[in-house]
Amino acid sequence: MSKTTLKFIVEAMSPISQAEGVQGNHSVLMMRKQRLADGTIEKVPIVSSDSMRHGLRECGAEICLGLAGLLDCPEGPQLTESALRLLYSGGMLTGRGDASVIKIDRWREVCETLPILSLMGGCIDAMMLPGKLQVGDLVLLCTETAGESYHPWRDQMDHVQRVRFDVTRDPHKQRLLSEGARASVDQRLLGKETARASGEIAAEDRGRPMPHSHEVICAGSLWSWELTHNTLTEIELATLNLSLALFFHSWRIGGKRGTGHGHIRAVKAESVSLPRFSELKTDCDVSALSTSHKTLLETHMQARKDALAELLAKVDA
Amino acid sequence: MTPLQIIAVLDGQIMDPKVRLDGLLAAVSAERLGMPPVHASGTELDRHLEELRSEVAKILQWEGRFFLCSDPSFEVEEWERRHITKRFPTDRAATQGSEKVRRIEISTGLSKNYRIPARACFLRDDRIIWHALGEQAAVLSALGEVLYLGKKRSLGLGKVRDWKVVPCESWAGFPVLRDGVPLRAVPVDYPGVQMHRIALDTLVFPHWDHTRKVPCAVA
Repeated sequence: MSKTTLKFIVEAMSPISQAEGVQGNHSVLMMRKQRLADGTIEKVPIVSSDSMRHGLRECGAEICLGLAGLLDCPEGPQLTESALRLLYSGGMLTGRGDASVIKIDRWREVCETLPILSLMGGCIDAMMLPGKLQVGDLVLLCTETAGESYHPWRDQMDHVQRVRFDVTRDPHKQRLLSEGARASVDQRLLGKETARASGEIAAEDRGRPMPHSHEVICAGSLWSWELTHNTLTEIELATLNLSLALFFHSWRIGGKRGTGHGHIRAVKAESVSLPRFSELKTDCDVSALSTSHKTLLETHMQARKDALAELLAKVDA
Repeated sequence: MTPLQIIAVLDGQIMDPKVRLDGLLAAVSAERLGMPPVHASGTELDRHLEELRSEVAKILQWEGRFFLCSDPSFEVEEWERRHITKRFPTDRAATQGSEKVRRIEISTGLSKNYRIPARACFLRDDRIIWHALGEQAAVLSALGEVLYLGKKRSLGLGKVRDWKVVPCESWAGFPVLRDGVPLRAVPVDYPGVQMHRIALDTLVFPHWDHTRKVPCAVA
């Protein structure tokens, strides 16, 4: 039985912002407790393994659909709600059928037709399929987790404040309003002015935009990430490697993706001097993924294009 | 078979560390034998369970009704709350859904978004300890294939840094009783049981199958 651990060092090309919650209008960075080298436990910034797994699942699903040719038609693959749930969030036990019975033949058929499912696991036709991948958190390399050669995580964290301006207060934009809408805006502004004059609204609130703030880990920071898989078939291995390649090429981790956050790249592990990685067993160089994997998976998916389309049309997930 | 102390040294948090040793070895054996998932039911399950029991009996001592191994012992050092989240892929529904996908109910039903609180823990000294009567080399070889323990292994929880299987001194009732107190669920009529209460529990894997619970003596 082969078990392989892939260890990556990941560099943030743009700030990373994954929030774990909000306090008022401030969003707080995702932190998790880690045991430090001295045995104490402290919270350090992470990107959750849930989030990383989801990215891999989306990339894998996209690859399976794409290589089967189901994304080629202009109207899209025309997926059902069940198929969407299955592909992008792992499916659900729907309550139909007997969940206590695993239909082994069906299970094998699904794994062959949709390799990303056998890799990541999921629920289909009232069956829970176990996955073969264990994905860890993306953990920031900082003094607390990796020693003195790194900056403390607090030095790598940035506090960003943004404002959202009320567009109806811009005279240039007001000209674009319809008569009715302009009257309504005028009415609102007049009401506010009256309230201010009567002292109902404090003077300092005049013209205040809507501020909100969030915490990010700066660009250039280094992170460690670990995946373990066991007993993969050739097709599953190809799916994993291509998913990883697409993940590092196009996926954005965490939040604020619309403003360019969460861009990462994999740094080859050996080139980083870090004791934790001295035990590295297998290095996955995603930049050097051979085209043979693509050809292999493409041939596999093309041969099962109709079966995949039928599976996705009829699936209960 | 020799008295053994088995230690799992963990790396980080674990969710639900109460892992039964015989079940763990059965899972390894099932994988080695190329069996389908152990939760396959019906007659196939019973046949597989028989095969698995004879396989695990080569590693652990079979008492006749259960394997001679204790429950895990550990102490939680610190808890942390996490959340298990699931969201319907609304962005994909817009671009890849069929024309029948017009409205998605995300507050109820199958596509409901949820965020369930769960908790994981750090164990004192990052250790889980079992005692068992078994073959040292075979136990070590089987457990060497186990890299994660507990629940939510797919999220990297319960990562095992090292396994230690060492011979240890036995005591009266080893490894299931200590001073008459059960270290695991044992049959009520098990010789030597003194201080105990009776509760429903499983004596042998599959421990997840609640229908197999029987009245047992437990601590």
